[in-house]
Amino acid sequence: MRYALLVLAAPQSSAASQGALRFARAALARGHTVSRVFFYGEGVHNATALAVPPQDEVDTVAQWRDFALANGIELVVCIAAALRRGLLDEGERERYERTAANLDPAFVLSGLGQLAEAALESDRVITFGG
Amino acid sequence: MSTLHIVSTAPTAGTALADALRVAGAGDTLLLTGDGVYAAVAHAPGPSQLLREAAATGVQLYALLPDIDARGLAHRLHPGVRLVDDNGFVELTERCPRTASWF
Repeated sequence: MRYALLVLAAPQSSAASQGALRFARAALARGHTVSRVFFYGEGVHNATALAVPPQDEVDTVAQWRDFALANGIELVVCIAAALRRGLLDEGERERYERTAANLDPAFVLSGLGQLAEAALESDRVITFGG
Repeated sequence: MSTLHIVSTAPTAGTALADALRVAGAGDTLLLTGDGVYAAVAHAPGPSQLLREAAATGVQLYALLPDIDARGLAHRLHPGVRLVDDNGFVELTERCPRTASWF
């Protein structure tokens, strides 16, 4: 089956993002496809390249990056939710004349249409929030 | 068409569990994840009552084992709650054409 995941929580605020990652790994292990992971609301904090978690804690951003690169999975971040939380790629940094870009290169900024498309094209959409 | 209801917040943090079980019907499945697994603790009076009622109406009850273990709750679970690992979680989503997340 084709799965799309929706992540609504920041990595440091709950176990939701880690749960989504574990689910994605388990889905692949069962032979499914995870076509896209969409990060929305507070979930956009999963895509920052600048977070420095303490050494004895899990680096969720790095885990998403490694997982996506190893398995060819699209990590899409809602652009409106990202901009208002100060999460910018190089293009947005330039457009809004900010001093730095901080989107991890494993992620892409895009619109909610990508979520609608993923929902249309997938057999299952699983939401991880709270 | 059966629905998988995923509850991921603690019963003390809001009304997610009660909200989910208000709409869950016979043939549906409830999966407790994250802090939601605290509802699976036996003798938690409010949640236990909700889970008993849900089981009586034909809702199947599950909790996610890694989240139970992370909180040290394995030895004190409500007897009607079955445990699944991440693989079992995916299996539940295969079985249920729809999922609803509550938090």
